[in-house]
Amino acid sequence: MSYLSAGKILKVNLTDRTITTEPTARYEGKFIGGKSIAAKLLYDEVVPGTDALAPGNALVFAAGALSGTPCPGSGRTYVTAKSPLSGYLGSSNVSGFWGPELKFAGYDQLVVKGKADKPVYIAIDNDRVEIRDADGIWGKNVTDAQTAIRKELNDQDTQLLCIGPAGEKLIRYAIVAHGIMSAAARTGLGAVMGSKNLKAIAVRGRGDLKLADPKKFLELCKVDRDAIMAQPFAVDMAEIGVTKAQDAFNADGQQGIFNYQKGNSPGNAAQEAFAKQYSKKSMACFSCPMGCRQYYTLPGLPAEGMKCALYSPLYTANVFDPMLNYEAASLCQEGGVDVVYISGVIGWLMELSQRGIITEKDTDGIVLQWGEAQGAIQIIKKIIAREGIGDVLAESHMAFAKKVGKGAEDYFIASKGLPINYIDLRGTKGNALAGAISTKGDFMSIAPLLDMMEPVIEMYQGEEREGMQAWLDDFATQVTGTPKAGAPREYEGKAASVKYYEDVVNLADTMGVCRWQGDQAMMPMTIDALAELYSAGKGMAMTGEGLLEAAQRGHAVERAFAAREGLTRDDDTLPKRFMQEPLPEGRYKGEMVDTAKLEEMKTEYYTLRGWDPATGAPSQETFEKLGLGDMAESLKKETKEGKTKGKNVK
Amino acid sequence: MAKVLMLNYEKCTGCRTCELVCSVEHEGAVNPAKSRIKSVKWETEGLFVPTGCQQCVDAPCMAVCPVKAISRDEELNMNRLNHEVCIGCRMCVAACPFGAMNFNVDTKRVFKCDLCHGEPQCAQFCQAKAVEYVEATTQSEVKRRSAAEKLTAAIQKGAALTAGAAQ
Repeated sequence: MSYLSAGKILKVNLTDRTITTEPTARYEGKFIGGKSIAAKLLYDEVVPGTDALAPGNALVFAAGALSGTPCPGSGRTYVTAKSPLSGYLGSSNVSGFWGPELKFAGYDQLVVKGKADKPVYIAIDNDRVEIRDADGIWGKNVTDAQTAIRKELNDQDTQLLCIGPAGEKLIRYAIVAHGIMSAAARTGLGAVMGSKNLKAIAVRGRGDLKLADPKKFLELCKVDRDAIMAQPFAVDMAEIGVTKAQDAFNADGQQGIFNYQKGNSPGNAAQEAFAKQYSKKSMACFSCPMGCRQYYTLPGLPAEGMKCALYSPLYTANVFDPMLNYEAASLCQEGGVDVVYISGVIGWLMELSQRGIITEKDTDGIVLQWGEAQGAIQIIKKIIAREGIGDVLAESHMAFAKKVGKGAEDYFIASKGLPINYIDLRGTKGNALAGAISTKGDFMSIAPLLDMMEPVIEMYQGEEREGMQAWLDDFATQVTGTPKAGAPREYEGKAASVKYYEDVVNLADTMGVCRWQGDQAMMPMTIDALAELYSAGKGMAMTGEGLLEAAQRGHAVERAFAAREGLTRDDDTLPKRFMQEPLPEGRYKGEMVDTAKLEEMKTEYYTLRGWDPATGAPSQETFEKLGLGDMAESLKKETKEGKTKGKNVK
Repeated sequence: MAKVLMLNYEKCTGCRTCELVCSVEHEGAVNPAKSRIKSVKWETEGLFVPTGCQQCVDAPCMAVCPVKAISRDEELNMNRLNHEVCIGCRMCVAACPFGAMNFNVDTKRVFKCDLCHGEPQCAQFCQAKAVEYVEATTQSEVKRRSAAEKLTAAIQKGAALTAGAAQ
């Protein structure tokens, strides 16, 4: 009897239309679940040097170890493949309901390989797994496609992951969307799905997910949920999402406006007011006590469930009107492209235009001017339609940079080909290190909160502020050995800080639990709380350290995957702007990242991780310590193959 | 007077926790398909409607049952299903106007909400208070006040607009 997991991994090969299963138990002991098992499946399934858009690439969809249970925030699904954008690791974590439904259907993970001979979608209903023609659905935007599939399957409760026209057209930053509020948005996973002629994956489950000690499990869940809702942060999240925090970044000079040439725009912090005025209600993911999405229906625009990045895709272009940002976000969401990538491209094109590197001749006559939304919106439409300039931009910024020359690529504010997630990294050195070393190229998903506490503490006065500062110093020391880890401008302690946050994020992704309810956000779903739940559900004594080690195994395998595809220490870097131009204004005025000190932080970080500082890949000793001795040999052998075959788009 | 489950679609966030805790409480496993309560959702419309057994006073399930397996529990103000008597004919499933009478394909038994014997888990876990366990007499009072609050807010907004226009 297997508790807590569904027990099977489902494998679909679209080329020969074979459908097989294998026991999850094969991976569970070492990797526990979610992201960690997914990383190993990806490593094993993809031959080094495979083109990301070739049938040989694997798409892995993973429910977490606690997914599907009443554990708060247990609705996360981890999606991974080789990235068509960076050529290294593609991964993104999607909220909502899909992973839990997969487990009710009887599967912990789904691996899709091959390429269908025509557009199809996969429909899973417990043991019945079908590959169905997507004739009438191909070409539809994400909401219409999901509605059509639900109608075709005659099941309103089926959960869907699907691509929009962008994924079908292999736009290298296409998303895998879920419902109207979620997406595995980063690293181009939607293009991988499109390359397989796979429009959607529908899943419906009606089976039991067994718990070893149901009574105790429920009791623990109740305690955890109440603890979460006792946090003021959680109450805010339910009412206005993260709009308040995003307004604070803006007012504080950490918002990458004018394509990160400036930092702030006082008076333009309008998101909270927008949410309060227009949000119809709060929407929650599976088993979430907070519900941090806001539901909007605005005249003439599609209904969306909005959070985070969706509020501000045009900020890089200095457009702050929430209505225009909503319009741009819903265009991206419905067409199926990553809003963060779009925001990076728009800001970049505006700066190229400002510097005279490009003119209207390069942009099909579209006028690009700071603060003007219309040009930006036209670019987004051209990209999704793959028309003219959009066809070039769809292949990534480098394709366009090569076309225009004049050093255009230097102004693209990105890491490993992925635009930075709106927030300027120059002032906060932990965030900067996270941006450099992130395996997929995204600082935000592993952002060390220790770097962001300064503005929070300043909101308090007198004794209260002193008390909070003392607590922060203690906490920073406990995590990293030095209180300086809590001081954003310092370099000291940041390697340990980044490692800690990366660990807790990897753990959350392994368990399938929302990062924002655990240690990354200093919330109650701590390492130990997760271990307690896992123990009660699984019927075994599991410690926090035990879970962390499994998450570290997954992370090492993920890093090895990227290394095998050619990732080196040199790829762990930041946009030149962050290292050459001081921030001109705001809280961190005058700050930039010292190149030599970044290298020192990197070396310290690799050493803490047990990775070879010369290559940035896990060392043989580390693999052995993690009980993955066989990985070391295969990595050494296959890295060469990966490099020589290398069809990577960089 | 006994309590009733008060379901409020305006407050429901669609998280489905009620379905999870209900199935764990009754089945010892998580399985929304075996939950007595369900958040029926139209996500695009932002509509999430918690539905379950209304514990009807003149209950179709009770009326249609050929072996009188369903009886009124006046103490808990609900309709109780006796599995010792039930023959599994599923007439109650057919008769229930709310889809609240269900059939478990594994155990071959019908099942319905039993208010967790007076401590409904769905209400205890619902953070949004879309499911509450309240005195039957107060149910309308709460709704009446909530409706009146909305009207008051509208009147105040209207007054503010009028004042603004007058200036």
